[in-house]
Amino acid sequence: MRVLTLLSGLFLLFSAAGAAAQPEAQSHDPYSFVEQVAQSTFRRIQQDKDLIADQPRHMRTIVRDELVPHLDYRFAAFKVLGQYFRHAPRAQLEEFVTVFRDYLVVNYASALTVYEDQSVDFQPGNKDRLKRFAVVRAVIREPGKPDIKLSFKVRRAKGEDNWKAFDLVAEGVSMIDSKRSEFGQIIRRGGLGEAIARMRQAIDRGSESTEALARVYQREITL
Amino acid sequence: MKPFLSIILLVVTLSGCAVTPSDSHESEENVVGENTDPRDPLESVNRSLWYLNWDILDRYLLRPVTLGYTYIMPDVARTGVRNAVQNLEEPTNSLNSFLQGKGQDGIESLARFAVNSTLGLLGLVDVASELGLTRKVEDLDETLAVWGVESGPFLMVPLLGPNDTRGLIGDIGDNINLPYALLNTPLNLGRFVLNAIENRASLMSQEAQINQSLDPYTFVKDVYIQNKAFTIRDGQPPAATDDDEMMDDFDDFEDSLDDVDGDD
Repeated sequence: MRVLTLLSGLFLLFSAAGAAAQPEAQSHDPYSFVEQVAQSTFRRIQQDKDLIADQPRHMRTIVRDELVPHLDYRFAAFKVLGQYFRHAPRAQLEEFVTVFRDYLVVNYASALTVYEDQSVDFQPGNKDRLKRFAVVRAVIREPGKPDIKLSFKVRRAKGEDNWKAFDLVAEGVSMIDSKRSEFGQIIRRGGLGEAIARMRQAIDRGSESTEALARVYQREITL
Repeated sequence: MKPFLSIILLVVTLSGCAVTPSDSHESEENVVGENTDPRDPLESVNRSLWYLNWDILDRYLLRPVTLGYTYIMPDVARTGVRNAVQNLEEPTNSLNSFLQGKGQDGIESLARFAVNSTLGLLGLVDVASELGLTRKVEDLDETLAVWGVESGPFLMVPLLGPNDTRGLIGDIGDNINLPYALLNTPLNLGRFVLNAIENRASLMSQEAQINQSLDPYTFVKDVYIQNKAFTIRDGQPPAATDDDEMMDDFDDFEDSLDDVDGDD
């Protein structure tokens, strides 16, 4: 199962692009913004380690506090929907976006459960020619394991200074592209409603998996 | 190298009938309920095999064995075994690097093989990395891709996991090479099993994501295809595609939404 090694990058697909409480973590430099946000998220996870072990659901709170304010989940939803948004009624679209945001929270939370203090090197970028999109690159290094290449895709809305993240690419695998593929199938078969229902199911199930995973990790020898 | 040449011949013939993703279905828009993925014409078969692989073989066999192995083996021993297995792959890496025109990488892989097999005690110790020779994995699949062979339909192979026609041919072709030809069958089998276990171990933390995704089969397939493209271009970023057209669409999208919960 060779592909599975690449999935080890995929989880870190979700471990980033959050926000610190610091008001200064924004401005014209997406590179330092992403780095700051990632670092403060990791810091918070380290701090709240015991609380998380006790109540795995706390990870969702961390994600909501630290990451969601800096995720452009609307843009992510738009990209994931692709052409399907055109024929959908407005109310359903709104529902989709809201449930999508919660779905992202659960995904990120469960992925972050396995964060164990790996070191992440952010690579500097060219700040001069930025317009509305930027790509911030990073490498996760863990001794004994191959490096994992990440790219954060960030954008800033028209007329705004704030950068927000909308996609994460790990070892060439883009979260948006993967989700679009998954959702595309589901929407073709059962429409937007089906996609929303499945997301809700995943959100409820998600809590069980996260808790199970946390228990496993407490007990097992490090792999 | 005669078997190698016949593989090449086989591939060239097959590439004539490989399915390319660019065959688009014009009917895609008005066929409600049809869900053909042009990259995956064998989807129904693949899905059953995925069920076999993940819900049965993995759950009842590979996963427990992996957990047991990692529990028993001390880290040092695991690293040693992993190094030795990977060392045996260096001649293949080297050959494929040369075939892709990457002479420097080819030479380095040969050097790695020489150093690790001798100083590194038959590959147990990765001395070469300390000397600055980094491991470059190249296989026949990538070589064929560089030569222009299309990937062919996506295949979910029993036991082995996601692959495609070109990949399967690549795996077979690679395994006919030295030094595998010099090893007897139990050793080759052992190599195969150890690779499977180590890969599965590195996957342990992502299980939850597979199980939580809305459609694990599509998820794994997509990850495979994207990562394969990434590996073939050796991690170089793809052509950028930020379009202004897309941004106009996004404005439409945003207009269709009321402010969802006041933020933004």
